[in-house]
Amino acid sequence: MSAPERRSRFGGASLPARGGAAQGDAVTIAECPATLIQVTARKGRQDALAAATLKELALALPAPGASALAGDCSALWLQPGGWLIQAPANDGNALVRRLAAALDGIAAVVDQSHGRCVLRLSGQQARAVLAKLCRLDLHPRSFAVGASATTLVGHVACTMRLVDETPAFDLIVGASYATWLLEELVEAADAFGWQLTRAGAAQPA
Amino acid sequence: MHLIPCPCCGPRAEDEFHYRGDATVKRPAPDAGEQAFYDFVYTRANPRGWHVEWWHHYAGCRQWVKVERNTMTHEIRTAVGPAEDIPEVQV
Amino acid sequence: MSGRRLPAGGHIDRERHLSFSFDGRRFFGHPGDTLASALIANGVRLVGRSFKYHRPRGIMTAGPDEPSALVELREGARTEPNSKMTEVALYEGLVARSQNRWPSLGLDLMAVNSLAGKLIGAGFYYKTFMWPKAFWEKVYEPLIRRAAGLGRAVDRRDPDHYEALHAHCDVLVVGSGAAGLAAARAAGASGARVILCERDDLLGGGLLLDPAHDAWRRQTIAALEAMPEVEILPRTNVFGYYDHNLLGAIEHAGDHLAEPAPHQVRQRYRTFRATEVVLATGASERLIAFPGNDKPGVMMAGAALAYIHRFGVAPGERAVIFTNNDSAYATAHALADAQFDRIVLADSRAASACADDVKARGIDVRFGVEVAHYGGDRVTLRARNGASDRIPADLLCVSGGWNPNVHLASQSGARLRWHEQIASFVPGEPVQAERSAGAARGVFGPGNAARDGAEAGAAAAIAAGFKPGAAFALPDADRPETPLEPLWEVRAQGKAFVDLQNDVTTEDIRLAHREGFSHIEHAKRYTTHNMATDQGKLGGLVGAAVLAEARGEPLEKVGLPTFRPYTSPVTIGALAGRAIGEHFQPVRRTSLHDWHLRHGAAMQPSGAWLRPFYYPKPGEDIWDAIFREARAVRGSVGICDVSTLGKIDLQGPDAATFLDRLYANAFSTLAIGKARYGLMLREDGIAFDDGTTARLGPEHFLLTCTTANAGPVLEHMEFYAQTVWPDLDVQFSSVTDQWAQMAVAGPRSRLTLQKVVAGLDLSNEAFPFMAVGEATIAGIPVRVFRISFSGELAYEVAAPSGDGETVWEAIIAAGEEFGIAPYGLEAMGLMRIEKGHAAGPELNGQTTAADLGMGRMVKKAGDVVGRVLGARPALANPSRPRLVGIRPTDPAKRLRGGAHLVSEPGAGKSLGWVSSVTQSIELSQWIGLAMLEDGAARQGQLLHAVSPLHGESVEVIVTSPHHIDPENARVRA
Repeated sequence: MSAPERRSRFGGASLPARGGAAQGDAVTIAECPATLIQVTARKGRQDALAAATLKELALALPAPGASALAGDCSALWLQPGGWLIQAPANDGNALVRRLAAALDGIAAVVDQSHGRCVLRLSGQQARAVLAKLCRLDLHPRSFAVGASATTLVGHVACTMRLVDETPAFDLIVGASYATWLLEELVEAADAFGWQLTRAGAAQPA
Repeated sequence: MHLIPCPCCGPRAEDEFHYRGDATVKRPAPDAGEQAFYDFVYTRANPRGWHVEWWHHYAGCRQWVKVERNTMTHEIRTAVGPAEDIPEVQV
Repeated sequence: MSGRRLPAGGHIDRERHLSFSFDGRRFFGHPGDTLASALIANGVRLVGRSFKYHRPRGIMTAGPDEPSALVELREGARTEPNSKMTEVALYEGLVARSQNRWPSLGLDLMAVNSLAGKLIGAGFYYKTFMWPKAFWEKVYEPLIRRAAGLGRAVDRRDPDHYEALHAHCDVLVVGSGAAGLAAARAAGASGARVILCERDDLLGGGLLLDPAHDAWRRQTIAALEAMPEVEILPRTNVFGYYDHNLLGAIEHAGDHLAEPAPHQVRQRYRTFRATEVVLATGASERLIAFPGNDKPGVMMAGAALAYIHRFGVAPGERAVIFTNNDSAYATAHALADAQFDRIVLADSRAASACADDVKARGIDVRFGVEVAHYGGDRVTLRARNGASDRIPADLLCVSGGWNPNVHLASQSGARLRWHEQIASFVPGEPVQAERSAGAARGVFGPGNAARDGAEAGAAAAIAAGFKPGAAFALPDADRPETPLEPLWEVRAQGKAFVDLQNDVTTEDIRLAHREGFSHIEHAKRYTTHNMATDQGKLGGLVGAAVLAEARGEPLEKVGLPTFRPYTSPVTIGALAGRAIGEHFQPVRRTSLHDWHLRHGAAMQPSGAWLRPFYYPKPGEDIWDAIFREARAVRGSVGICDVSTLGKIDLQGPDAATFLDRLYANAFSTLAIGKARYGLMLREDGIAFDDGTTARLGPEHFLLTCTTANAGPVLEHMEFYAQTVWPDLDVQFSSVTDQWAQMAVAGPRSRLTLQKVVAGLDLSNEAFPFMAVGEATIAGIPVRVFRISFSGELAYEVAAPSGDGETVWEAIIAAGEEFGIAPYGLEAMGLMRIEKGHAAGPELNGQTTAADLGMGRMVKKAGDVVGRVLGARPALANPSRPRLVGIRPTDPAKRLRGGAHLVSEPGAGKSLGWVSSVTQSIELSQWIGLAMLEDGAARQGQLLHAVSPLHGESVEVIVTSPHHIDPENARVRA
């Protein structure tokens, strides 16, 4: 149901585009609008759900703690029988309808595109920033590229995924907590310096 | 702070969970009568030592995790999903 | 004035000079100095006054065990009381003041307490200030605080920043002496992730005091720095060992600076979750109790060694060393290196293998002697045969042996074990995944400790799943020592202290025993022994030994009081970290938040949410705004952000069955495209939450719950779905944040919405009360619910939250011609009280469905949460407090929430309480809702609402809770 021109969740927040210490290896925080669809298998239909998502989106639903990528779509494990599918922002409405039809009787399909907000935290110091906000071990030996987890970041529940070894983390948080989380990230990044990209502005690669 | 071995998510810090008390009591059948429901809601053994408890993983997989924990030493021995039973261990 | 800077030596930068001030006097020191070493270098000897007796005190130690040299550091809002001089790194411009003295350090009028010492023994305050009780708060406590306090807290906001940081590792090594360095290197060599914490700013611990081992120290540090998975944290004091191998520490990141740089923190609170822990925390030298052992000039032998070799300062000119063990012989050598005029070594033992080397340097070594008194710069030595000798000395070095720093091991759960040879406690069997190494478990000497550390580090790495790495060079083995002979107390005339900070004497300990406080924990609390900021590191065991002797039992049986965090004082601000002010707890904002701010809303915290309270216009006070907003709704149309309502999407073949069991009333009978009010009970039969639930399809529902209970309701549903009825095929998830929801209420709400809603016929016939439908507004797909909380004709519109503002503004534009007003929580509350809807104050965890007037809704059979226990006779008793309305009989009188309802003023029995009050715009007077015994039968009765807090009593008439429109005609219009 996403309208094409989504407003930034931080439209009125008073944060500037950059701040903190000027050290040259500032972290980047980017608001990344996305289509987010929560799928939860009906009782005993997990295999059917996995087969259907593989067919529809070429996505192999991942095991706990993992994520899967196919083209510009990805899937994250949320809970037993439940996954979050992330797709580009602009085709949300159509994708929700398509999945709802394809998964009829197999899974509950719920649009969360507006319910959750994706913040991408990247830069050499991204792990150091998260260590201030999160009690999960994010060392590459414990949390490799593609790993995902739902945990507390800045005291709120976030679903986190390591996108690449920049490192870049996607933090998926309840939309009503997005400003809070952004402010927590900015505070934690203050010693390194930070820059902020809002939705609607140029997207990071 | 405890480290709770969530059967879905692996070891996680206690602050991701809400403690939800005794997991040994089972909700009775709807026609089991008032006393049975009374015991389910109110009667607790409150043991010193090993105990099976609910820990709701609210900031993780949102499962009601059944945790076998020593109330005296805080040692945790087992954790299973909501519908599973913890195997009997001789203490 | 006897201290002085030595011409060479020490880990200080002699090229640079730092200026600082103490009690207003300006001094100079060097980078690498502590405040203590710099003051000694400047000849300052008297640095503080004791807690109870205000006795003059000097610098006793060179580390965290310091009991006496406490100062107030820095100025203004950064003022920090009770800083240990021995831990304060010197920086340019440092300002420190002595504390606990009045009017000045040299002349302290409170020192008269010392003369009255016989009257102020242990338990003095407990015994004296007991009566009358009322005197405590106003007389005794301020008096005691002024006379005794340890520095003063500052009431201004700390301008510095603190933060938390959470780390994980395979092996955590605490302490970087010989054992810690070797342990870290051995563990690091295995490839394990290692964190090495050192409280000091330099690594090396005791190695820093022995120039012979400096090469090995540097070599090992360089090897550690070359390991990518080894993190070294200097200035990081590990203060606590908690469950499941979690340790807490404070990193003093900016304490060595005058001010932290912009964007830098002063202190960092760190936690470590370690697979394995090596505790290489070293040992603390212990005191010997003898009269005058607290006087300025008394210093621990190891501290004197540290001042000479670490800082290049000599703490005196003429010294006596009083020892019962070999470690003080190193101090004798150091004093000789520092060109002391005279050195006498008094060893209470009969002999030592170290004696010849010391004697060879011209040091006067005497065996079998004790110090019977110190004062006036004279040491009284007493031989076993009773002969005594008075020796002039401006420095008296004391060593009663070494206590392993077992605090962290003990906190981890390990029991302590008595170690006869060193006459102290060492950690026993580990309970958590930890091991102690080196002096921390009684293995003394750099060579021995390094070997022990290397073994512990390798063993920890293996336990964490790694293979041992390559071996590396260790310091030479240590020479064997002549065993220590325990010596706790020299009995002679005068006060002998076991706790210098709290002024506890050996006599106080014996008094505690005589008065029945003989258990170590009781003696501690009765005398305050061990309760000071050094946590008994210096004299804790000595006090226990005095108690043991008084009890006539071995020391190992008496034991030590339980060790608890913190091992050293911790700044509360560091534990709070960033979680202060606006960052104290998470804040939720609706997608309309910015709109509310732009339109002048006064925002109000509501649980985690921020919600518009009201929208004041220029010149309006709070009630003006509330009345205007409520009148707009009652008279025309208003719009309110209700996005905070909990929303749960429920699907599945068993969704209807699930709801039937979850709610007290039925939902399987609900038609598609309709909504129904539902009441949820707890299993004990008490009302839990309410809200409207809509049926969107045969197997698809949308539940709403109150803002406050959105989280608990979801958790409640998860409990039943996962554990009680796992056979039910239901899937549900929170969609609270997916939808912006707005109530459009008032007689002209239909007219307003009809202008903007496309694709849905809103006429009363097509879209009656409780109808649900889909439509678009401004091209945005929305859901429309015909439900009402205000009691007026009303709708709720749900739009995807990212588009919420677009839809909201479209509705406002449509309502402009009708004078649409945004309304806040207060106007909403006013209207729901007028209408008689129960909310939080009525759903307070004590009320049943019947109490709230909804008893008939509850199903009488079937599997329903709360049905069985809700039917208990006491809960069904009709005389329980029931929901009613009340109004003052005099319309000019106001009502108070929380007032009690009584039959007549002064009647002692409360018949109920007033739960919610407001000023009604329809009735033009205060009205309220109340829970009243036998409420249904009391309609029309006159009672009194009394509020003793306000001294008010108001006559009220009991009414229906529905102050307006009891027939519910408006919502169906």
